[in-house]
Amino acid sequence: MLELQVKQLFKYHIVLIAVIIAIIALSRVVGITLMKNDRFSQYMSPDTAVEFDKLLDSTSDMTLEECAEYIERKQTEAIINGEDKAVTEAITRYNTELQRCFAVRGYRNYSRYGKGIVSLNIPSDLKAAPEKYRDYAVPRVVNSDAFSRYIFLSSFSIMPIIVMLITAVLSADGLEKGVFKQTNISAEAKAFYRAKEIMTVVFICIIYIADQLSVMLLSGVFERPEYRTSSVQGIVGLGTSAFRGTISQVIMWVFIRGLLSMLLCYNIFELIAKALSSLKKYIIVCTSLTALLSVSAAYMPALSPYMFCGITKISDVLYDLDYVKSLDASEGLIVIISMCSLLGGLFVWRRENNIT
Amino acid sequence: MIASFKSAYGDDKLYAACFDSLDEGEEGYNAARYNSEKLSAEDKEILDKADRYISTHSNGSVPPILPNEMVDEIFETLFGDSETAGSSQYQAVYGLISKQLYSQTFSRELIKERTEGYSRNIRRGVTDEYSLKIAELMMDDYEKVLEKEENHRERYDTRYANNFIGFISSEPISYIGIFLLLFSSFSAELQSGRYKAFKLTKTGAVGYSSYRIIIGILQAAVFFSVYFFALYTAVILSSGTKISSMPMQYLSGFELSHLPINFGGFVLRIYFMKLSFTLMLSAAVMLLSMVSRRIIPSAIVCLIPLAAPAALSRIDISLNENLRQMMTCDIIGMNNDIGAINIGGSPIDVAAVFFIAVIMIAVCSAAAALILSGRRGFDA
Amino acid sequence: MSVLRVEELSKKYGRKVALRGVTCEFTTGINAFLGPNGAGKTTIMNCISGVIPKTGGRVTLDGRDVFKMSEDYRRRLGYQFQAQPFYPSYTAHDFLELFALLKGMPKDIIEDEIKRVLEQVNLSENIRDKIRSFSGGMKQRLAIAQTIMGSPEILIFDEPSAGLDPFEREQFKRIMMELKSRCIIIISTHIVSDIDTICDRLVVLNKGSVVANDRPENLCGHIRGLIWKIPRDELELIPLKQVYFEDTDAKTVSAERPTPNAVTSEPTLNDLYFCGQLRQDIFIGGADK
Repeated sequence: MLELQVKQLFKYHIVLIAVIIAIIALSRVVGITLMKNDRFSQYMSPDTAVEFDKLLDSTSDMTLEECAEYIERKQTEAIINGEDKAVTEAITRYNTELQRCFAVRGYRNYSRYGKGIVSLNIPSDLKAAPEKYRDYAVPRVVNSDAFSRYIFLSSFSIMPIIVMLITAVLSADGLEKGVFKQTNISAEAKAFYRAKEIMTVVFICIIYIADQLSVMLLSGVFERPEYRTSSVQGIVGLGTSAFRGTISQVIMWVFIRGLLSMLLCYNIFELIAKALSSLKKYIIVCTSLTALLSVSAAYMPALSPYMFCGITKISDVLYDLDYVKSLDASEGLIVIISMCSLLGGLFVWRRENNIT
Repeated sequence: MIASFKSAYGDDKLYAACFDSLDEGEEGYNAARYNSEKLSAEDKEILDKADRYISTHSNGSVPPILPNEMVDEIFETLFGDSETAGSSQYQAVYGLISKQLYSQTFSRELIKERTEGYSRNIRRGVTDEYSLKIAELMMDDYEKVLEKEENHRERYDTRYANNFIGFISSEPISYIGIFLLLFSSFSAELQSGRYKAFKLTKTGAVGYSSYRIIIGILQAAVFFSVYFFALYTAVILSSGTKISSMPMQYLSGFELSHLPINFGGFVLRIYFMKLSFTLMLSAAVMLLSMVSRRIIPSAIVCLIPLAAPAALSRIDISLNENLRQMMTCDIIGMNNDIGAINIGGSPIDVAAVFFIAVIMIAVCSAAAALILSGRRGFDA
Repeated sequence: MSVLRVEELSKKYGRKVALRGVTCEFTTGINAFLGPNGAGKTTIMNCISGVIPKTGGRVTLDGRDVFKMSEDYRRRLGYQFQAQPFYPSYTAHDFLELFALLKGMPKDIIEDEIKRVLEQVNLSENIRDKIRSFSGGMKQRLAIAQTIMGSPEILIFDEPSAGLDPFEREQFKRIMMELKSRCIIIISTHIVSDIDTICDRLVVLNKGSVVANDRPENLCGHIRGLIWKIPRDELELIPLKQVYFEDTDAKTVSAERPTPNAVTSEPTLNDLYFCGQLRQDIFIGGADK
């Protein structure tokens, strides 16, 4: 049954697949164009980035103090030798990132020992809620440009529209035509719906993974080995984020959260398709829901991780994640657990009630 | 929009308390600015003190640990406690107030400076005809504006009005509404086959299509009007009815607008601008719905004209600024300054050009839809 | 021999009662539902097959509740909808292949089975054509092919001859005659000629209730002597709404001679149909439960 459905997907819905690829490609082109036109971006020039990476390579095994000493030396050499703009920019940038690492370490030390602040950029809740900062890992200097690009590109997602399109073609259309009435009274109805569910979920997952991989490739996060070990607090704007983990783990969290939200989106759209049995109403309701959640996410950042939206300010989501005392972890974990529970419940309920 | 108010203007009570404590006129502005700068300076003093400590005690690039007393002072001053607001909050509020009052306090001065500039140019014998025409037009208008402002010495809380203008200039909700109302206006009829039955009636395809287009445009107009005036009602309820009689030059960023109208009149102007833009999009969406013939393709295709203004407003491509403003219905850009386009050496109000352009596009879209509907064999 | 029994079946849509405690029994052979539009024919068939849930009553197959049998029951069922839904972009072959798998047919026999059923309905040449290119009659034949594919034990046809030309209707009857010895066939129609010569049992429905339920010859026996042919020049002597037309004859149902020159007529199933509408009391006491 699965084999037949996949065969018929490629035979009869090849246009759907082509349109989806085209829409995603177009959305990423628009995303890259917006990124390049972002007046507030502080990405390094390619030459500066090369010099910066050399500094990273040289200081990969050093402590923060050793890094400070090294960069101080480099600064002096640059002045004496009259190094070019790329080198001096790289050194300045490195120093800025280094100071941020010191600052984060300072928050941790203050929360543990009552002293240690080294920066003027102090979190307002450091005194009131020190437990949030107690277990911060000391960040390392990283080339944060790739991550910044990743966050920017991840903020725009056409996936809810893609899921709506897939569910429209594979479910809502059949429900409107009444073809599933015949299926429901067939001997292999359960097998059919199981195969259809597997095929659709796998299809959505493949599209999502391809989209996310393209974002990761375009932003360059794969090329940054230091992301695997350095904590996310080293990234500008996330110095006080409750998320405890490396930058790679953050990227993985964003990926998993996005995948779960797309599967939630799929389940909800399937329920809507079944309830309405009308393609036109289905599109109206799903578009309204996506628009509503996109707008709500902008003004209710605490709930935005659970929403499937066209626009999700990932940096705001990461920044607003709270610290959960009872779990001694960031709210990120709760988000994943909650979404998994919700998803599991929806899949089981739909299967139990033959809502397919 | 209410949520955007809340997110932009955190503590309403604090703002009201600070705003009411200020005098009228320039004194009030100066006091707000002074307070903002003083608090900023106080914060800066503490932060400078800390900065000096860091500079003098640094070991190379390794920053020193700040003494506890200094840290406690920073916490107390900047962040306050649960009972009282910290200086950073007051500083933010006074900063916002001074920004609000700037337009109200200095609009007249700025306009007078500009008109003097025009007079100076004329006296110097500028020969460029277009410049002379602009100068003449602006001076007339600015004179009326000054007369209007003469009668207004009140102080206004323009937060909600400013937010309303900013919101309406870039809101996507009207476009989403157009999409939901109209994407299936023809595609549903074509896909279901009902269109074939309508074609065979006395009204015929063209008659039916024209009714449908008219109804669709009316639906869009009603929807947009209800939505727009609901938002405006929220502004009136928040700011009071007197905000309508405020000169529009009191809005932040509109100090040099040449339009001699009050805020209520400006709201009407932008209502008609946005309404005509919405109706143009409606006609375009209905045409695309007819071309698509099926519900799912029309759902995808009709998103394009609705997403295009938002995308164009964010992408930096080389495009004439006036053209960009019109294509994206940039209310602020088209109204906050001279707002004229050079057409054949004469300055023409950009809003007039905008109206003509959108109406023409709307009419062309509707005509194209009607021609398509009348073609033999269409709908197969 | 299997027996499909319907006991006190009822169905309500909100306040509207579509079926009122229908009881009847179907055995191997051709069983027909006859009745006007809105009588409840489609509703009862949908309830029997499980397309829609019933409000009350039972449906059993050899004593077992069919809804508890679930997959086992569906495996033995073939159903043709009144308006058969299709995927217009599918070819006839792909459409039947999908339903062959849905019916749980082994993969190695599917191709042969598809060819067999398409040949039976004269669609062999259109096996690779897209369904959107089919005429109404071709779609109907494809629907019939889908229903008989896999040789299910219980075949339910809802208005099977809608859109078929006379030749195709005869072809349909031939298929039914071939299958009747081994299947419980239930056909619902309001076109009497679809089933007049082939059905073994007839259930006449009106307004959600069974009006008559017996072998056609027995039912015709009930109305023997009640069917009158009215000469054309005497038509205005009786109310027009009591008259019905069959071929070139104008007829009416009456216990006594309705006009001076009216002549009795040997009852046909068509007469039975009109009796069911005009004179339901004829069958009360005579209808087999």
